[in-house]
Amino acid sequence: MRSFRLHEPTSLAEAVESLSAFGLAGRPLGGGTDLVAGIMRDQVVGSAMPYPTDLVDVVRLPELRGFRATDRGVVIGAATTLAEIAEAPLIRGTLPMLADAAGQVATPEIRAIGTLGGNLNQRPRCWFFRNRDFDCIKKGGDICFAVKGDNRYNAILDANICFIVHPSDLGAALMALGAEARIAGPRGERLTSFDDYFVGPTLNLVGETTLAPDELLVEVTVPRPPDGSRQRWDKVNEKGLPTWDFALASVATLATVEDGVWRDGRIVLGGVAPVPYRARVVEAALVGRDIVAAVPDAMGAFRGATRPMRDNGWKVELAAVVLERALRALAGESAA
Amino acid sequence: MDSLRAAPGSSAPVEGSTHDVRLTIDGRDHQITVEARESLWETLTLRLGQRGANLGCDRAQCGVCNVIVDGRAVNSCALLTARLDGVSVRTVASLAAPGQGSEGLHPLQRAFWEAGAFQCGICTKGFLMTSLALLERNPDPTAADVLDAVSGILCRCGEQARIVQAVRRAADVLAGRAPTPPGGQTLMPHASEVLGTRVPRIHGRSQVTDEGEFVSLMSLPGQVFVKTLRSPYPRARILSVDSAAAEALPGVVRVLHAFNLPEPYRSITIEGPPPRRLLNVEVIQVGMPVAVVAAESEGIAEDALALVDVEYEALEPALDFLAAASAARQWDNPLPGTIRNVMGPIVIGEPDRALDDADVLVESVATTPYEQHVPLELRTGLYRWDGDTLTTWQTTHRTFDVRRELARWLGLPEEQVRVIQTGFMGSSYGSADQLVEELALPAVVARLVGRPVRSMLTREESFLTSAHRGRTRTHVKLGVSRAGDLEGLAVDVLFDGGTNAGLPPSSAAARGLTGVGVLGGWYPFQILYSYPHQRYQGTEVWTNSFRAGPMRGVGRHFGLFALETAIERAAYAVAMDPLDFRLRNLNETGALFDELTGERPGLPFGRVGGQRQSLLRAAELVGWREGWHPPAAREVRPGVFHGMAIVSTIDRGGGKQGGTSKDGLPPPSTGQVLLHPDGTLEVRSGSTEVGAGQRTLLAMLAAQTTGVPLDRVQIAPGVDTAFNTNTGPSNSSLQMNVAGWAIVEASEGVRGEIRARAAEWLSRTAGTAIAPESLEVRDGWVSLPGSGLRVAVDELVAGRGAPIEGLSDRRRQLTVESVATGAHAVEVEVDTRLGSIGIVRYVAVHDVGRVLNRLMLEQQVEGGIAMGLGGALYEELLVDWQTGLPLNVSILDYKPPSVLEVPPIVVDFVEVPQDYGPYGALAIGQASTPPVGPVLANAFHNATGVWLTDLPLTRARVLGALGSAA
Amino acid sequence: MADPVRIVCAYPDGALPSGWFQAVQRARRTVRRAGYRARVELTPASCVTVEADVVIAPPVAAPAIRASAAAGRAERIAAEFIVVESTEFGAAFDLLVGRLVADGRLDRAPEPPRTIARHRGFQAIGERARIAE
Repeated sequence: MRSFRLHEPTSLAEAVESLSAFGLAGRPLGGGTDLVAGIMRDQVVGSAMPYPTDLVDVVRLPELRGFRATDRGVVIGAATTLAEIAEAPLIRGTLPMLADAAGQVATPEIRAIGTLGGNLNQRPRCWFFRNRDFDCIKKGGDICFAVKGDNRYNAILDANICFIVHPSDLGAALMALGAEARIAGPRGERLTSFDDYFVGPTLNLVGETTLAPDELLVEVTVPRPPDGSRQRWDKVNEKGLPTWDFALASVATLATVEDGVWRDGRIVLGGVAPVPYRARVVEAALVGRDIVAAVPDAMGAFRGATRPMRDNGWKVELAAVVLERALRALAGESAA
Repeated sequence: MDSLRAAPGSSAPVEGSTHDVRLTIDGRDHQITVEARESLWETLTLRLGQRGANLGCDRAQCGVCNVIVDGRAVNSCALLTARLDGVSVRTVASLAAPGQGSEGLHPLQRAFWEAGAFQCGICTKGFLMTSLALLERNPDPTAADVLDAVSGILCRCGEQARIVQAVRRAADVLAGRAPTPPGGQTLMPHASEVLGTRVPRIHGRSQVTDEGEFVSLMSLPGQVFVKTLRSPYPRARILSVDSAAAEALPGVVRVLHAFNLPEPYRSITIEGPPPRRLLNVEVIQVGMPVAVVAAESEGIAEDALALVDVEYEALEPALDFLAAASAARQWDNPLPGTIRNVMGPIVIGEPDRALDDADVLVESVATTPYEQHVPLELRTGLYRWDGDTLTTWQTTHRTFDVRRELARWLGLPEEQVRVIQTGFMGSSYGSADQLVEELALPAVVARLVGRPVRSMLTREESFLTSAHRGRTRTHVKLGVSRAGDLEGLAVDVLFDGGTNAGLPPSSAAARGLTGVGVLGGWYPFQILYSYPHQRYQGTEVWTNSFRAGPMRGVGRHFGLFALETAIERAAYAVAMDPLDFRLRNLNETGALFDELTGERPGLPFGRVGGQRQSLLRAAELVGWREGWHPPAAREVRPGVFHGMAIVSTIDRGGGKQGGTSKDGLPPPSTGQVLLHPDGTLEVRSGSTEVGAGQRTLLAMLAAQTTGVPLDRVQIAPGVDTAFNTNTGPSNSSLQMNVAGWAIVEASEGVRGEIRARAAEWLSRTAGTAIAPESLEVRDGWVSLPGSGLRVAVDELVAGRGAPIEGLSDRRRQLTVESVATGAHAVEVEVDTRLGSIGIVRYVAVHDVGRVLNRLMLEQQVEGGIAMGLGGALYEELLVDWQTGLPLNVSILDYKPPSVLEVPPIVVDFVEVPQDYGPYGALAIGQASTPPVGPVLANAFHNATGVWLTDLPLTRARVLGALGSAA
Repeated sequence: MADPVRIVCAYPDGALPSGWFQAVQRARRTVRRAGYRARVELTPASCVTVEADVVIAPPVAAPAIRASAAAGRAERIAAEFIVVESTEFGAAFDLLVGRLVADGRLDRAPEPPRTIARHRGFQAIGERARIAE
């Protein structure tokens, strides 16, 4: 692969300083399964994302390591591996939806080295973006090739100008869990709710998160789910089982259900929009109602929000099925 | 002004950082200084010269390179060595103690070898190490645990189910739940009567250890690395190339392009028309080489590529083969050569009248996409010049053809080109068939820079440069009587041959290329069913999209898909059970026509009983009579429907066409067998091992024929043109016949001499004359039946100075068609809401004449089905029509099936011995791949009542079809 | 013949709002339709380091560009540096074009063929060539 410099800072401050110094050519390095083995080997570059000549290794920074229970909830360092998240009893016990989502990312090999931060901040999988010969808007070009090209896997809602879908399973899960991100940058630290962590094309066409190039995700805090609430993670990809590949559609739900009635909850869809999609219209159709009775209205609300492209109408149907099954399962679990 | 602007991302390379690293590899400590960009795989393979990890994609997408780092299996391609200070790495090299045969092997290795958990072996190291990491954490895994643990590794030969079995068997041995199998010098039996039994790979030890010499793991002292800049346009004129900045980069040895390539190399024509040179001023497909960099490392070569400026004038390409095929839209090809190659019509009887008069007319249009083989080894060549002689190590199944073509291109006598195929190759499936500029360019670079060259394609390059299945559209009309008899057939094939279309028969057909693509599609129609009236036509279209070529057969997949989906429609149209309809219309007259002339009666073939028996056996195994039902009649769970289907299959394994040499003659059929004074039998053959077990089979034929036990038979894994004799290429089971007969004939010579010597010996012992012909040789003994007189073969050769030698050298006229038929049946559950087709049971029955090695034959069937399954459900190489660029040239985006998607397969055989191959065998060829698409499409129809006639049957297609049917 | 006028539209590194992108696209269409010999480019603020005749940037990106210029990385940031919000971009661009035409710095010329493109390594410099006009 093309040459680059690897920096191994020993403190968070030093890491942030490095990132500030390198600008667009500097990137924080987690497991590297996407950045090194994907973006850099395939030379996915453009005027908005020059080849990363300076990688800042963040996995050994103590502030980014491990996870712990606090009175605010479970705190997970950004350099925690996906395998650790999937397997940790602490997480599996209180946040089973997050553990399920982490356990279905890609392959066991990737989960062994891929990190939470890497999963949240990975770049999209749109084949026009990934193929170095298409200078698409996201890379700094001036065309979204998916508009006229093969858009079978592109966004079915909430997209304009750029039609990627966001690939992060954990992003959808954390958004549904109401998590919060701690971000370090040259101007100090800040906290951001996952409702605002991902940024769609209206706000930013060349990036998918609130992170500036010189900022670093430090950790994520997942609040304790409300007592009696239920969680579900559902994911469908092109092939059979939900691992190996990215989601065609995923649904992360956290809900308080009493006697089959949806009291409160969050529904987030992955794989269908440029950022994990908080299905507020569906939540609104459910709140205070018997779930099974409200399903037709909820599905109508979901379909009404979609804007499929030429080749991806089928994804609307698929996502609707996954969503409906999740809702019915929540109702069933509650009744049981 | 343009030159002042930086291309986005093409900034000058930075000086990379270097790092001191101490790490432990397989128990040994290493202290090394590496560049930041060096991967662990590169450290192991290129820096340390080890063979502990193979490589499949270099993108963390296939698992082939897996090793254990600090207790967990990881992709060694994705790890930067610079970050591994203080870690412990374990590769397959740590598993086995020294020994021979199965001596010293870890139970996992032993289980993989015995169970046939690999064919080519490129994925084996990854599976072994990943399984080991699993067993260290979980000594008693369930099948589901094993599947989950190895789900990140691909096996393209289709041994997924055997891998799971092998891991569990090894777990039982390790945990003491099963006895430790006896060690020993070999897993080969001490017997000569081995045909028909299950014999694991003769060189299996090398595949489960680090002993196998995969070319992608090899280096030459003083080598330079080459990397290639490729055309991003489907058709363009190169106006200029500026390589000055690249040449100035430290570590760059040479940059070559169309404007600086010296003569005579500039004028070498690889093939044509249109003429295709090593480096072309006009490129005619995406991925053609534009500039080649030779440098001290791959990384430097890649840095240099990013500095090469090329000015292109894009020319209008032909991309849409349907449009290009219609006369009104013919592309104005300024190059010499054809854009369309029209075949037929071949008319038998009065098809138009028969179709008009038929009670029922069934019509369907079936399409298939571009597909790619995705062999998991990255294609690699090593090149070294010694004076005017070139030695090259190649991943090829055409060892002698590579020598011939390289010699022709380079203007050398064949004796000055030595090609070595090591016998360990991450297989081909047809992908290595194309002998093109990729093969010759590194040889020229090596010549010009005066140093050895290592050239390894990237996964993307492998997608771009190797042959593909061309896209097809097949229009079928069937006329059927109400009673259920097929009355007439009309087939019209449109075939996208890419830049291979229309090559003259002398180069195309003779090499099994697209000249026979259309004809290959006709073949299942001709043979499987009978229709009194038939018409065939086809058009092969030249486009600027890839280059069509063989992939597990030529044309069978789309022909059988079109045929069997149409036959299914016909059966339903006359309300017959699809099995009964097929049985009623089988072609059992044993005649076909010659595709090129249409002459009838054509070549006789004797596959009468086998096809009927295969269908009946498959029906029995799948439970057809109990299970089949009218369409959409069985909803097993809400929205989930049960369906069944059964189809016929066919291939011309090792037949007339596959076996024709470039000179139009049958391939030479040669081989030598030597019985050495120490009693070992040495088999020498130029038959190239691609993973299917060719070398094992030759050893078995020699054992069976000479009577020497198999554990005393030796055969080198590799083929070296300097020491072996040409016996044709290894494709479509051709070698079973060509090299197989040669070894049998050579072995007969040895057996004759054994008998002669034994007759002399026993005559002396018995004091009476014993005729050699009356003697039987078996399991290392020569005996006179019924007499108790016998002598060991070893005795007959011990102390002699020279071996007993048998040889064969002839051109074997392949006048007999080798037709391998069979039947596949499937039971599915279609989730009509999620758009998925789940396989409940898959049954494959093949008529093989006679089973020679049951294990290998089952593997060949399984491998064909696994690849067929990928093509039926997921795999499709997509092109962006705005730019002509491919969209999904990565393993992740192309989506070959993993262990999670390939179900266990029930395999059985029908044996009707044939007078074709040795010992009554037929070459099975690729008969197991084509039926997967139609059997699944038909089962989908049975489940839902909806026809699908476009492959692959993706969720998008399934949901789309169900949506429009609703 | 003089080089085309280069108008570089900058945005903050890593953050390109669709409003700014669309404004620049409209400017490109204006230039193309009128047949002006000008190139309108879209560039992250920190990459405005090469010759440009005009730089247009939103207020949020302006400090970075000035700092970059001060640091000598964009010493030739040119004659004109226009700072506008994307909502004002169109009007500012029209004014700019009018001024450039009036000054005789912007003329019209037939567009060069779009089927010819220069690539460096794997990247097109500017637009990829069209495979058919």
